[in-house]
Amino acid sequence: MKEVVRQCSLVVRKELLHLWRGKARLVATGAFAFANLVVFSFAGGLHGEAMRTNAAGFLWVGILLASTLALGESFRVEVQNQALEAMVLLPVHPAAIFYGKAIGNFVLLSLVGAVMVPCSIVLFDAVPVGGLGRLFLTIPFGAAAISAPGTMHAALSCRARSRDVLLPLLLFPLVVPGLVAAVQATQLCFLGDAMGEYGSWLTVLAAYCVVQWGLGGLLFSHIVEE
Amino acid sequence: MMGVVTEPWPFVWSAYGATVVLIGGYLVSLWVRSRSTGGGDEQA
Amino acid sequence: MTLGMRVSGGVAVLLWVLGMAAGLTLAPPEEHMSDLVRIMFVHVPVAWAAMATFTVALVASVGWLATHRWGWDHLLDASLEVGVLLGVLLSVQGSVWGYPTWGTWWTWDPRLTSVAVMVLSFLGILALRAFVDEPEKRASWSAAASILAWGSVPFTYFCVKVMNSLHQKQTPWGAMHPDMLKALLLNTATITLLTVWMLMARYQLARTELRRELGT
Repeated sequence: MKEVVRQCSLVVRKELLHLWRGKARLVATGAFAFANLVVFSFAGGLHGEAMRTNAAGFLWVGILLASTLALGESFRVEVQNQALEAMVLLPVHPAAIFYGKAIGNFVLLSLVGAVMVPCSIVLFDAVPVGGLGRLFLTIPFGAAAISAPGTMHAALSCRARSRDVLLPLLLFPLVVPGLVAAVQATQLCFLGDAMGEYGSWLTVLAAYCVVQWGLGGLLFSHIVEE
Repeated sequence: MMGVVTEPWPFVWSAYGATVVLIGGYLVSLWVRSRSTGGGDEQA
Repeated sequence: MTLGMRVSGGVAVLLWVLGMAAGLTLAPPEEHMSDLVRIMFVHVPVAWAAMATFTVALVASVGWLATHRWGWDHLLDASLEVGVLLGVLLSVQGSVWGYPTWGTWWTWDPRLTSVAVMVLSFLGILALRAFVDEPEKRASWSAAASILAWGSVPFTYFCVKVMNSLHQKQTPWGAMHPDMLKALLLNTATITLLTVWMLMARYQLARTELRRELGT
């Protein structure tokens, strides 16, 4: 157990180093998320009121679409160098690889999400009357809800044929509950939380994260072995 | 439109029709595939 | 296909058609209950069969990961495909029922949404199976993906239920006449039989395909 945690922290360090060195990936993912938000404003008909009510949904769909790029990219390098197999042979515990990669993706998505918050406030004219602090609190939870199942499915699809189609096809239905809870919580931040529902949605989101992060750690050994 | 049904049978036929088309179509696909894989059993 | 499978398939199809004929002709007992209720005779059994098939997929996934016996993978293959079929059928029937009853083809009801999400997940996993060439990897990966998909079902149900609770309630369809109950039970039996048969036929197909793939 202690060994797994140590290995995991090494993988996290490797991921963060990789993220830092390849800042271009971070910038490109952020730029893509921003481009999504801009396109959504046009899809919303440039209607002030409609955009404000949909701001939470636009923000999360923007992050979700950007995540498919980031997740796929995070495994492309590993596959090219057959690094996954090498890590398992070293031996690094599969759960350590999973949590390491997932935490790396979580950090990346949280950063992108945090940058998208002010962007959507400006673009959608959505002043967070429910509290800016809560808004920034919701971002890492939503990022965690995408990154765990995203890491699992990126690990699968990157080694299959037509991986670019496969990842969103597998990931989108799976993150529906996480997306619903994140959008509801974010909407309460943007539009105000008169009934005090924010806490319950955050709890649902956290519970979903616990299940997906738990299952991911349990199942990852089955998809990297052999 | 809301709730008031003057003519229920088109909907009933649609539901039963969809059932027949989808399940029937799948049965046909099973039949075709099992033929093309050459029997699909040990006795073949 | 073996002779046994052909005969049992013929019987299953015959019973299925008879069940539907009974559903179409057994009179609804009360005048104010329109003929629309006949949709329920095929809708409810398909709902049950779809849920059961989704559950079979979960059991097969756990079975494969625990034992690595090919039988579990064939069962997973079969239940993914039959599950998608029944789930799509269920949604179509639900829409056809929903439009004259609720005035809309689709509502984001927790049950509808859960089924739709499950069907989409399974479609994705079927695509994954199609795009992975090594049988061992295909089996393990699709089993892991199925378990993950199952892990999100209760959350989908719960989230949509909470989100919708402010908007609308469904009307219950009241106590059931014995004739209706008979039609419902008959169709449940025939659809279940047919589902089991389809799973078995697809299982055998999967076994043949794998043997050919492995060249044995």
